[in-house]
Amino acid sequence: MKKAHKLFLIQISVAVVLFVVLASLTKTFFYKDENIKGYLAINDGVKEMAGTSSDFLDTLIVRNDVTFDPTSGKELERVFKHLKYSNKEKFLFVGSSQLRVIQGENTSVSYESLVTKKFEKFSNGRFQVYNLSLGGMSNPEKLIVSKKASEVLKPENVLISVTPWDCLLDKIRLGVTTIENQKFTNRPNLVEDLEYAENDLLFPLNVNQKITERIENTIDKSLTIYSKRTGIKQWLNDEFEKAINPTNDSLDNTNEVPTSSIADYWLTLHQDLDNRFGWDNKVYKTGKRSLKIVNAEGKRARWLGTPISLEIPTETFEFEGWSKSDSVTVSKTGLYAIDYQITFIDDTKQWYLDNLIFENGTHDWEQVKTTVTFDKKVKTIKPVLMFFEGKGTVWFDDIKAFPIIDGIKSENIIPNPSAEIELTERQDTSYTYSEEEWVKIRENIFSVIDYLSSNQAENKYLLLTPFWHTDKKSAYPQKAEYENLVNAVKQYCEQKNVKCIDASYILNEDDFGIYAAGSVRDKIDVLHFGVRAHEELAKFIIEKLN
Amino acid sequence: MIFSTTIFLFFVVIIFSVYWGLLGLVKDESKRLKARILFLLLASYYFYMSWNPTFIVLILFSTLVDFYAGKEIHATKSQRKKRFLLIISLVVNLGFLAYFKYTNFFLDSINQISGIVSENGGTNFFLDIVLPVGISFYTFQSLCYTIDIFYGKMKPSKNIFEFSLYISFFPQLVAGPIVRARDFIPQLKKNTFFTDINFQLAANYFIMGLVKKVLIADNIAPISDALFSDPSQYGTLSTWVGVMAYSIQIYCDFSGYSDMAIGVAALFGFKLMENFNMPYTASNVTDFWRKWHISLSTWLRDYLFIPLGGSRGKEQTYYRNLMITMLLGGLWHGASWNFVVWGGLHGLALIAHKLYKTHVSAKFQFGNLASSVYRLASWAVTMVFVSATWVFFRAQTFSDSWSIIKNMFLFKKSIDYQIPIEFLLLLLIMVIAHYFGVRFFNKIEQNKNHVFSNPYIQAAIWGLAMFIVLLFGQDDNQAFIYFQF
Repeated sequence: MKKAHKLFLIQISVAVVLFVVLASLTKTFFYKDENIKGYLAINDGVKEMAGTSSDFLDTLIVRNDVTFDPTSGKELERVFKHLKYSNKEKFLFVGSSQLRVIQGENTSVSYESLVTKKFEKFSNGRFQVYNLSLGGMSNPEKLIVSKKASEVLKPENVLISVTPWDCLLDKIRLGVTTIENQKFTNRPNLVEDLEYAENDLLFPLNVNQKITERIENTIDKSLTIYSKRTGIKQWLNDEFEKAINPTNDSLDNTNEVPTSSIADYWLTLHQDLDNRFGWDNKVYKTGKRSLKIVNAEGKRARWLGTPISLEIPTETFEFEGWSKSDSVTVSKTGLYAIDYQITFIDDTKQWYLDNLIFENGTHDWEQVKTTVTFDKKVKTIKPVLMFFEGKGTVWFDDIKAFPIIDGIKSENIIPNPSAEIELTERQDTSYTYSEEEWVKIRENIFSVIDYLSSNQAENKYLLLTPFWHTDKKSAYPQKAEYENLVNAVKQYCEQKNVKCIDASYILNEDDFGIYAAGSVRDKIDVLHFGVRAHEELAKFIIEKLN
Repeated sequence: MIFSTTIFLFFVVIIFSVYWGLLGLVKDESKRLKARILFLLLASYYFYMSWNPTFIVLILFSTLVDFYAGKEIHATKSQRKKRFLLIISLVVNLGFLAYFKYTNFFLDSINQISGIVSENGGTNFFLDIVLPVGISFYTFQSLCYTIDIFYGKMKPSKNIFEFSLYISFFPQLVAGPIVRARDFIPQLKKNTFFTDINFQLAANYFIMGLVKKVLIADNIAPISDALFSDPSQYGTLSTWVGVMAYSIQIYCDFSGYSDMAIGVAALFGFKLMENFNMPYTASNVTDFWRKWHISLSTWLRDYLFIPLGGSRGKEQTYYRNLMITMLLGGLWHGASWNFVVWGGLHGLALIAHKLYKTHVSAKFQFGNLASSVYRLASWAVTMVFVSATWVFFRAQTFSDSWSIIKNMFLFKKSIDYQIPIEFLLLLLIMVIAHYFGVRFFNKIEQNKNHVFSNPYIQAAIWGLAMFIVLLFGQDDNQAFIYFQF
């Protein structure tokens, strides 16, 4: 053997030895960490989520019951390769998470409660239903998946669901791109044919997949740094943070027990404390509470409220607020201030924080106060208590805004200004859009209608999905804009011979779920609904069929 | 099979073992060579068919047409017949490319125009066409074979298997580098020995490519994805961060793939051309095109720009030829007006640079300090231009492109959505590392006494690189950006 090649073999050996040493050291230190259970839980949780959905797909394949993608696009190719064959009249559903999520439940477990399964059941077995909806499915994705599924299944009925929120999405995920240029066939499920379908052609190109799985399982079992890498990455991240911030006690939240849950109206983002711990009961100006920010890393931290609509639009306001600081430094591009997002009656927007900026360093309660007259009437304001790119600790209290109408100062309009009131009613998310965005939403829905119109199916449906609403609030608070959109969509559907099913308001407020308590998204999930609602929607669609 | 997957590594190990091990047992040199070529050819076809088996028919047909066209072009003395055969080759190759890649682009353009002029909403033409992977690359490779034979630059291959392997050699089949027949086919005639292989070089290239692709490109992708999926939510600084992230991503993705291709080819004794040469150190756009996707830019120069007339004749003709080349070069990248605009902008920049060089800079002489400042400023302007034009390459729609460009150059403050500004610093570090990194790599290749040329240090770097790639690689294998071509 040539000397150079002997040397190369030695090099490979050195590389492998170093790799093994690094992997072993990482594993050893990782497992010695006192929070190892937490890290393993994170790792296994993420894997389980992926694995569960993948395992569930395996189960569906074995049962020859693939009519749904539990992996939400990650293994869409496998879904398409194994779509259930049926001689029955086929009904294809394509939409976003609303059609595939039972709020608060694991899809693999609650799969049978989905709207499409209920639809299949309530139609007394007339249809073979396919639900190829994906979480956060964008318009382009809906079109690609519908087209591909129509090619394979040749369904007699196609339904695509839309809601303004998903009509602004443009991204196409990898799983959808993967199937876009592929050909799939749909054969009857005979055992021989299943094997033939697996191999697809005269020689086994799909052996790649089997080999890949075997190799990856082997690596997964023998290499901790691979199988536990999510947990290890989290651990490394925390070790790094500890190394650069060794004495920051405020990061250690486990010694503080919140005495109550969260403040009404206010939410915090991008700081070291969450909504519970940030609602401080130790330092305050008035009452017994204030809003605290701890920003060890100079992140873009803030407390923010939701937009407040003025009953009578006005140009003049008096803004005031108090803040206390501890060891605050703010970078040149940072901000430590009360800022307002102002929306004028012509829908233009502006940020305003003049004379509402606090001093850096350490100081006791400092007040900022200003009166401003804008050049246009204001219809909404949204307060943001900023601690952008600043390091240290700050507290905010008594945040008030007084509209001045015809020279007369009105009452404060900011809810819970002293952060005294605890949230009793969960906040809701709402989605508001600019005029341009409403136009884009309409154009995107029209493109879906155009596609449906050109689809070869006998019956084509556009479903406007339900959303959370009460007498006073709604997921889409711009009622007039939403109604205009619906009317335009209905008209266009009629023109294009597509049936429009408007399910916007068919559900009750109780049908909608809630995100995890204490998290930033500690709110009502205004777009995803529960078991009863899925059933209700299924019945509604059946009623509206041709 | 994507290069950064375990199945591809498994595939290479099997092919390598058979190529050098099993086939190495064939004693007769000429039989051994033939067996290896045939084996690599079958392996390459298998590799291609793992994407989509049906399209092997296209490659086979294209191969047969060009093999026989090349043979006949060389054999015939009639210029007219030569030209006719060349046209057949062009029509077949470009015809396939046009049909599979550009049909719906043209139909969509017709639909858009008719939508504007017609009162009835216009036409709605669409054909359901699947794009074969790598068609843009192997088509160009096949064309340069017949064109070179036509111009007498090379003789045709007498062995159809050799020629087929040249077209379909798996390391560069789906995303380049675009290899010239006159560079590659002679390598197939040489009986390379196992002892000739520079395994260190191959390993260095492959691992470097893997790190660029898996560690950098895949991990930086979410930053640019965040911007391009919803540009309206970001302010100026964040937009710049997202755009620079994409600049780094596309470079690391594509050059990483090229490096892996070079490394894998080297394992079998084949030398592929370098495709990138520190493009982000270019001090002007002309320089950039000498360093970016070199195999494509030289192909366009030799087979499009020069046949159009090149720089011969009037200045205006030169600019016209340059613009046509860049517009078509843009269109080659994708069936969308975004890519045409991207090519057009680069064409304009090349023309502007040429005018500047001829009429302005030639008149000035700088001292040392001024010269350094001038070079730095030139580099900065070039980087800004290249990064800004990547927007058209990546954005989903033309209006998104325009929205991002506006955000970049007209200050826009946005508070609700921000891509972390720390990444701007990280990206600047990466740009600097790019400059020093490749120089460093070239230095250690040339200087065997350099400490990093020490084989044990290199081995340690390989071990560390594999450890980092395995630990920090993204879970989803993002297909190489250029695979869409």
